[in-house]
Amino acid sequence: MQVFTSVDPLAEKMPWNSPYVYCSNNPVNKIDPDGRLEWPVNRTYNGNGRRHENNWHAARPHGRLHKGVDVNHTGGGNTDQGAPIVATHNGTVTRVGHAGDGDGGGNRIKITSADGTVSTSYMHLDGTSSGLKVGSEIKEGQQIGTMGGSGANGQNAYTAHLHYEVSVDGTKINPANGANHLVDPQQIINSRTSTQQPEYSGGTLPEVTVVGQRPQATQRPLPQIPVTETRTPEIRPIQN
Amino acid sequence: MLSSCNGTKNKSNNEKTRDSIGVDLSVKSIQVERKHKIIHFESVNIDSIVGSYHVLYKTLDNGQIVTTYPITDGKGKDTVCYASQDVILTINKDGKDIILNRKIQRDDFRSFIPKNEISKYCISNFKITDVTATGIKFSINFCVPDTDVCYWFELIVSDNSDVKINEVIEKESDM
Repeated sequence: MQVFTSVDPLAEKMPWNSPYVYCSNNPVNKIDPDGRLEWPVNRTYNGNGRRHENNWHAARPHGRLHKGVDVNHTGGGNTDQGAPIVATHNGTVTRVGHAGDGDGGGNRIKITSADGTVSTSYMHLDGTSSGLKVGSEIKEGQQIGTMGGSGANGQNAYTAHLHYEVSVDGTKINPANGANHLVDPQQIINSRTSTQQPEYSGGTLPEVTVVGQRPQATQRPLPQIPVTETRTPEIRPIQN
Repeated sequence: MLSSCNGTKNKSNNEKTRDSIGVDLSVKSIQVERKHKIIHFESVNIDSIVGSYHVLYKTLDNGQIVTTYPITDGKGKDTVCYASQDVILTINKDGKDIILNRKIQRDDFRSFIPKNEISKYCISNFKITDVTATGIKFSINFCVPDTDVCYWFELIVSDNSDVKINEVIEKESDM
């Protein structure tokens, strides 16, 4: 059994595992040095490592751009067909499509975070995990399908790979983050959640310092108040 | 550092002589060669009867290499070499050869794929899609290996042996 030496920072995302379990007790095929998942594929498949084609915004025919990165394993060709594809963040399935329906993504799944700000798309799947449909709740690290080459006209339109897209606030971003890393959508979600809704687990509330300016009072016209004119009585000295 | 996919040695510039003791940074005295394994796509060999057509096609390596530079986890930028393939096509109808061992190759699509881009692409998929009253249609695509960056074509072979190529605009995913 492989264990973390401290509680997995994402332990509560996978309550079925001990918070100390490392890589679901499968360290041969998985890696998770900091308890977070950024790759949508396992570290190895059939002994081959993982890679991405670094092709965010690569030129495509007719002036179009490639709006994600293509991820696969190093064996080449279709040796990685059937490799597990896993969700990179918690969320809900918001789109499911199937090979042959005319969409270039083939068998495909889109997952959107609970707050709706972060979504990821997984395309050209060989197959999707059984039971997945729009509305299905997904946990980070959960397998959602297998790698394939499906497209608009059916299976095997491409050499097996995963087309992987990440959107934040409705804008697609480059899923690649430096030489050996991909963007971690769950970290983006966590950072936003912690900013918007600090967790409170009972006990003494933390001291909060608020920095800001008092809002300016709006300039409103003073109400007209009718004033009755009064006469001051004339004062005269008393004459003896 | 030089990197080669074809297995041939990169020649260092040994003929250049120097008569000064200054350091010439433009000439590397030692050039390191890294040979890369060439990945071959699975060969395809189809013998099929569709309507009144007997179609045979197979893929064959054509000796050309397509190179990609992916980012490999834990290794950084890598160099991957793929063997490019041609399709050899034979179509027979009613006992008569319409096409016999016709080679379908990347160069046939030069009018569609920009000259400076074509070396990045290789045949990724070839299949029969439809039969009409006057011919048979195939789908063929050329892709940067391991990606969906591709050109799609419809190849129509008429009963009179004419071959026509139409580009197909692949619909982008709406996700």
